Amino acid sequence: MESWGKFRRGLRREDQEALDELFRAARLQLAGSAYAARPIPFESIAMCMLLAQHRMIADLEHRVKRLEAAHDEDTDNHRVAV
Amino acid sequence: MTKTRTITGWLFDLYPSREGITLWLVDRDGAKYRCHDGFDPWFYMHIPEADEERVGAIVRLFPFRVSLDRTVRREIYTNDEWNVLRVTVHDTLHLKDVVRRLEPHFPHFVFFDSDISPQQLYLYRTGLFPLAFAEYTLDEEGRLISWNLDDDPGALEYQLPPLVTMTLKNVPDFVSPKYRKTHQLEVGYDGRTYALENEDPAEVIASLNRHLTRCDPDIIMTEFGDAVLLPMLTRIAAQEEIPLALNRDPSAGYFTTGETSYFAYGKIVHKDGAFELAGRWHLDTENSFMMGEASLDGVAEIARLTQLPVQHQSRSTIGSALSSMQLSWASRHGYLIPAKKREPEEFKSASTLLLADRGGLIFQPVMGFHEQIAEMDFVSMYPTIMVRHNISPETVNCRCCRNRAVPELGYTICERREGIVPATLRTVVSKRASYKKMKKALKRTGDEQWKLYDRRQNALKWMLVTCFGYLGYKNARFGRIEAHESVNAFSREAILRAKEIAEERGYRFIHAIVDCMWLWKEGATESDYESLAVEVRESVGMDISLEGIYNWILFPSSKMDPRIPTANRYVGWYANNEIKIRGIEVRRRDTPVFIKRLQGEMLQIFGAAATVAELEELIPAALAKAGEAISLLRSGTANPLELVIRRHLTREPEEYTTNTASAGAAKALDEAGVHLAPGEMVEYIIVDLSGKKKPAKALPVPLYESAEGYDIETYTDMALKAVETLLLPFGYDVGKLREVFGCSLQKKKRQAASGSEGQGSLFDS
Ligand SMILES: [Zn+2]
Repeated sequence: MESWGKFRRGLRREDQEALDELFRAARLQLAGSAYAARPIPFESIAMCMLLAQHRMIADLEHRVKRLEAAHDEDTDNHRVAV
Repeated sequence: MTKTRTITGWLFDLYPSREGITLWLVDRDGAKYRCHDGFDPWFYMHIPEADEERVGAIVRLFPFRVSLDRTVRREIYTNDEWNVLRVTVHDTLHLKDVVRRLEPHFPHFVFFDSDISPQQLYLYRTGLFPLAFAEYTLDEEGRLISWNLDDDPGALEYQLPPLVTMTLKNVPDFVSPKYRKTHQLEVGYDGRTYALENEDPAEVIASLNRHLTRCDPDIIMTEFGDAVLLPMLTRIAAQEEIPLALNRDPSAGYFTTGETSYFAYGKIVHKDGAFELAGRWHLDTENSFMMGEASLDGVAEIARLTQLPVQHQSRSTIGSALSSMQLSWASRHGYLIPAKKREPEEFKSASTLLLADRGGLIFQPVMGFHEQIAEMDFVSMYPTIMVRHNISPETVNCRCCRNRAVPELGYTICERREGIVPATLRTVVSKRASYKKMKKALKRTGDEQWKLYDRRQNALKWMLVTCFGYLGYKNARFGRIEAHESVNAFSREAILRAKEIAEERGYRFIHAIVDCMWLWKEGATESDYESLAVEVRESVGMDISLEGIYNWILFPSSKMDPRIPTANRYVGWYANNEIKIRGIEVRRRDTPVFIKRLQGEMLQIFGAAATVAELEELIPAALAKAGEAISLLRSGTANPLELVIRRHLTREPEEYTTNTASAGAAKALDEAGVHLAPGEMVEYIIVDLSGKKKPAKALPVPLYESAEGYDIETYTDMALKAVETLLLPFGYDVGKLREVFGCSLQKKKRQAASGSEGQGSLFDS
């Protein structure tokens, strides 16, 4: 992670925060990385980042669907009322 | 015909002497008998016959007889028969000298059985053990000629002899006696204590002798007896030319060893040297890993099982108890015991090994408060794996089999012979399981018999939790990294299998560390978890138990970064009204008592909550309690003794280059004439961490005076962080808590502090 210090320094403040967020994601999956024990650790780190992104997208999708459903119901109700 | 007599009782003590080995027996009435047994210890050297003359030339220089002959023994790793030279020393008091004299002339790996004390060799070769109950037969010269053993180390029900204890200590004072210059003695026995005057040293010794004669103790229990008290008393006695009656055997000396510092579990541990007596036990409660944890019953259990004499056992380092069982086993089975390399002990801790090879698996917890979480633990996971899969240095990748039995790694484990590690661990594992069962069957929590079984099983647990590290320990006699890796591979397999089974059944995996897991499933009951345990047990082949279901549990965030979780830090209340705490302030040894109490009181308040919602309602009450403590702290009138911080020194005081509070305190003590070694505890009170207002950041307790006050802001910070640990999930960070408690800092300062912390933690670690 330290080896990305220079890369990080060359980023804007808001991108630095996003990068930190990504590296934080890698710390959440100790077991997977340890069990796989890949010779190039960054592969596992990158996979953890992808995983976190995908989980976040899935969660957002889920929330959007729920909101849409609630919204549709709302408009349906509205129509009935009209 | 010679007259003999028989004593029915226990083997109490033994040590080398002119006669070979001197033994003390105690009978049922508490009467003591000294006897002896001729014993000529021997060791082996694996050298060609051509080199024998070199050995002969050296040992002929000794004034006692040393005889040489050849014999055949087995080497443990290869199981080959080796033709070795046996060196028999006909004087138990000089065994060590002979080994020392030979060592410089030969490489260390030719020596076998050469670094074991004569009394241990005697026990291994006779099959006797400390506190063994037997009919002992003596001849009229006091020679032990035979015994009829009615006892064995594996026995679950056994009696201990009636023993008389005398306590001997410095008069209580809050300053540890190690730092003190003058000494006042307090002697206690038969429910009474006697203060001994300290003005005339000769008088102190004389009155101590009177008490020793009157009480005639079997056990002398001291605090700091090894490091300070007994060395001091013997020194004074020598100066005053008065014989000191500490030993029951007036012809014997004391057995002493130097102090040591060594690594254990990633920390430097300091051990004072030993000061052992002849015919009595000296037990130092401050220099024993066991005394505090399991008391005398535990010490007796381990001494019997491991054949380590009691005084030695009570001071033994991690691993030497198990090691003794292995030595005994090897000796019984005709294997050569490699001599330990004489290097400073360097112990690879479980956590370093976690990095070196992959170790056990950790699933980071889902941060915050949870309710209805169950905790399930594999029972004695590592030792069980070793026993079940026959993992031992000489069985992993043996020469005779090929089965790729170890998951992931594909190592082979021998099917033809049982390894030394599983062979010896098996007894410990099964004895502990039996005691736990016996305890459970009593159902009378807290009565004497229940407590006895509990202390014994706890002592055995101590052996089991430490057994694993030694498999990979490079200086261990029987250690090898492949054995260690194999245990880890089986452990990963077990926890992953358990996870798969749980997830198939709809449980969510909240947190897991190596052999424990925390699960959740909507509406799951105790019997659901019990049946899950049965299924895991059947599939994995290892016992797993339900520790309990939590009303609520908190997994706090990392201290370094509030956005990430950390493993093995949690606090929760079980439904049965017990609290379990790991890694947070109230459980940490370096937290001042004042802060511990503050956090502990909040946890007590939260104990009433059956759900997280109920807990949330209790927050105002908990904050009010914390607020009282914080305003006391900020008034400057808190008791400074409750603000003492205790830290282990990691190096010599003069080696510290950074000016930390603990380094400063250790140096100040050094200047005052009290030297602390690495691994020793330094106790201090912070008076000005900024270093701007006062000459010292912190003062060691012995040099502290209450007029010095304490650093209000630093201790306030500690208090706020302890509150934050519990309440951050509800949005109470240190900043908000400052507002709540009305102790805000100036704005500028706070921003600067939080800005640098957030960035540093992730990239500097
Ligand atoms: Zn084999």
